[in-house]
Amino acid sequence: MAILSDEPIVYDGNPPSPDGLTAFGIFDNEASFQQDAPRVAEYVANRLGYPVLDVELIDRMIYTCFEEAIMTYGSQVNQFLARENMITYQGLSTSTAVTQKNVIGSPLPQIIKLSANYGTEAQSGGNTQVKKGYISASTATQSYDLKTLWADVSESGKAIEIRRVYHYMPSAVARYYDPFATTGLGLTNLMSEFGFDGYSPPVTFVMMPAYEDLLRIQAIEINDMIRKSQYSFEISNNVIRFSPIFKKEATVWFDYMVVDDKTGVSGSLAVNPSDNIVSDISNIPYNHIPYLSINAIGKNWIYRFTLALAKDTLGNVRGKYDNVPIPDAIIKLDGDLLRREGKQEQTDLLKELRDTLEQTGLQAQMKKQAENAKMMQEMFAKVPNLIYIG
Amino acid sequence: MPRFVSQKDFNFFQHINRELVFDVVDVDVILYKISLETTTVNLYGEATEKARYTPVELKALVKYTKTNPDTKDGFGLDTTQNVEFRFVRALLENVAVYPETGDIIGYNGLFYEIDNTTDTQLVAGQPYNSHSLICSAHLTRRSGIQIEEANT
Repeated sequence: MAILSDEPIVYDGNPPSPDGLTAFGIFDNEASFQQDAPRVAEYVANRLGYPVLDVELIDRMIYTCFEEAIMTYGSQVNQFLARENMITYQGLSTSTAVTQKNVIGSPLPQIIKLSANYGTEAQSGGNTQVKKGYISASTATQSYDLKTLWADVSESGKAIEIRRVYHYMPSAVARYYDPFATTGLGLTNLMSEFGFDGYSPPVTFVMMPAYEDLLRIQAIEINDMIRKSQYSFEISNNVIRFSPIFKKEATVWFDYMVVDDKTGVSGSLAVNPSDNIVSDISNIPYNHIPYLSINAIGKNWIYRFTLALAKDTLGNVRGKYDNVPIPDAIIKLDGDLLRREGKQEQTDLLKELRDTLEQTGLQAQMKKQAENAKMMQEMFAKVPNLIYIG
Repeated sequence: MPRFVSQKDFNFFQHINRELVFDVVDVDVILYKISLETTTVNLYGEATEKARYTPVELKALVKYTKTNPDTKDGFGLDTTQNVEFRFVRALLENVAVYPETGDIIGYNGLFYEIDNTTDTQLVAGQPYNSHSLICSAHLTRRSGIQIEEANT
């Protein structure tokens, strides 16, 4: 029973083709992966002490570490790009592959969609339909319940939000020439202002600046507002109250929105009805980055990360038991140390990669360009100018 | 099958032990087993000359104690030494050898006769996981064991 098993338990120095030996088989078909994997296995085993020491990792374990390292690299790169471009990607078709693609886009379409809700409030557009309603005002009452008179009848009792009531004085410009508008421009007044009222030429033309018209119209409006009581209303608890009371029957129109339209799916919460649209990081069309197309910088990182993962794995193997029996004694293996070392190296490598990605990001690059330009200007400023002697 | 120390785990222990005794410690001892079939015994079951099999080289961990001078019986100075040879049982089974009481172990140019063997290190208490064979031996005189090195 105790005879040594033939089952492979240590690295044997003859790494086979990785095809079919990785956990996910994502890169197995790539020629460059097949070529590199045995070399990586050799590198990892040698760094862990082989052939002087036994390394309790077999080929497939190292290949799995290698595959994970490639996936981690791709995932980190893709995650970074997703963070950089998320708002640009949102709304994009999920069938548009963006892996290792130079995405040139603007977040403007998404921002415009977001701003539509602000447009609704500012009444300068938006997603919510502005509807028109009216009430028939009579001389008998000042107050009208808009819920009863309109919302219950025309909107099935849904809450409505009044945005505008068409109940105001006629435009002041209509009374520009009205001599009874106190400040209106009667012809006599006009001639008098210029001291021509005593003259009698049949036709007189006076050229006046535009602000003369504006000031006069404002004066008419302010006069109406201060001295007259008309065209005012207030809305409280669905009831609109006009003041003063109408002296003849009239139809008062108003603009309104159905509250559900504003806050529901069709309003501020706009949901793109298509299933094939990027909504979040989970459906951005990123695939695994092919090993073949990763450059030397990336591959170098992957080799080192593979080693860190292998240390972790070897640490797990050697650390399953605290003590290993030897004849009449026990020994302690370096499982804990390997695990700690492996984890630390993984953390360091991930930090290194993330820092590099941050440095290559759009914001960091633009900042660097701006600093370069500034420094260049400072250098140019020190170049002597030509002194022209004529 | 126990939840802990499965056959895989036990194999792992054996590999660690194999690496330890072969590559790390790398101490060779030579086992001279008595051939009971060819050893002639007298009326009392004693043999003045013991036949032995061809010696076998084995890897062992050796607990090598100090030698002690002994002058008892008035026959001049003698030297005694008790040594413990520890073998990995799986490695012994690989070469189909099992040291027993009375066998001779050659080590460091000296010969030690096995007084006792202990085979009680059961990993996780499983009888089929017997892990080691501990041989307690004492230094013996070359003249008494009829082992001569061949000049070949």
